[in-house]
Amino acid sequence: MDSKARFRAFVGLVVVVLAGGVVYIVATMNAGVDVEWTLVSAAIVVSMALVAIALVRKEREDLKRGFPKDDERSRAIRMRAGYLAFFISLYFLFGMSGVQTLLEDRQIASLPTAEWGMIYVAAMGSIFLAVHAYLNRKGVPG
Amino acid sequence: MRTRIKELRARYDLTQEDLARKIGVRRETILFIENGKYIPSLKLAHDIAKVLKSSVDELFIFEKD
Repeated sequence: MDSKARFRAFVGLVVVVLAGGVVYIVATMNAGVDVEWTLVSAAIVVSMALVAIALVRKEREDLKRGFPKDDERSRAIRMRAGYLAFFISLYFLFGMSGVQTLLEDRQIASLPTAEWGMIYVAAMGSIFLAVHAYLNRKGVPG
Repeated sequence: MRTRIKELRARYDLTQEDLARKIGVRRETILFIENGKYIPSLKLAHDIAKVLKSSVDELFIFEKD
């Protein structure tokens, strides 16, 4: 797949994800689910949209200047960041289960399992972004 | 690892952007290779050497730790 096709696929994916987010927010508002959760979802979708717009603009600019969307170095960074994020998030998962056990032992109300799952996914994504940014600045070891 | 990419780029009056465009990589990749922070694949090293009319062992100098 060439750079332009990859860019179009990326834009398509961004649009689908954001549209899914908007549909979810509208559906929760219509269903009368608690307002706080709808506001949190809206904030997440808006921040995702802002990051996506910035990324798409940068990619478009790079493509116009004749640079590819990615190359062997950016692929190496992505692979290493994914691998490290997976292992670091496993420790996070152990930590989370420890916290949940503590809360249960002390009979403090804990979050539902689905929300723990969402926290885990958000943490994994954040760890990936942080490791990616670090490797992008410091370089990947050969 | 040291490289002579910067020196040869200057000889052929090429910027990092020009070199990156010629070999189809991003500009940061050239920057990181020049600074010794990224060791390129053999193919990329060969492509850089070809554009700079040099050879891989002339461009990349590996030193003992």
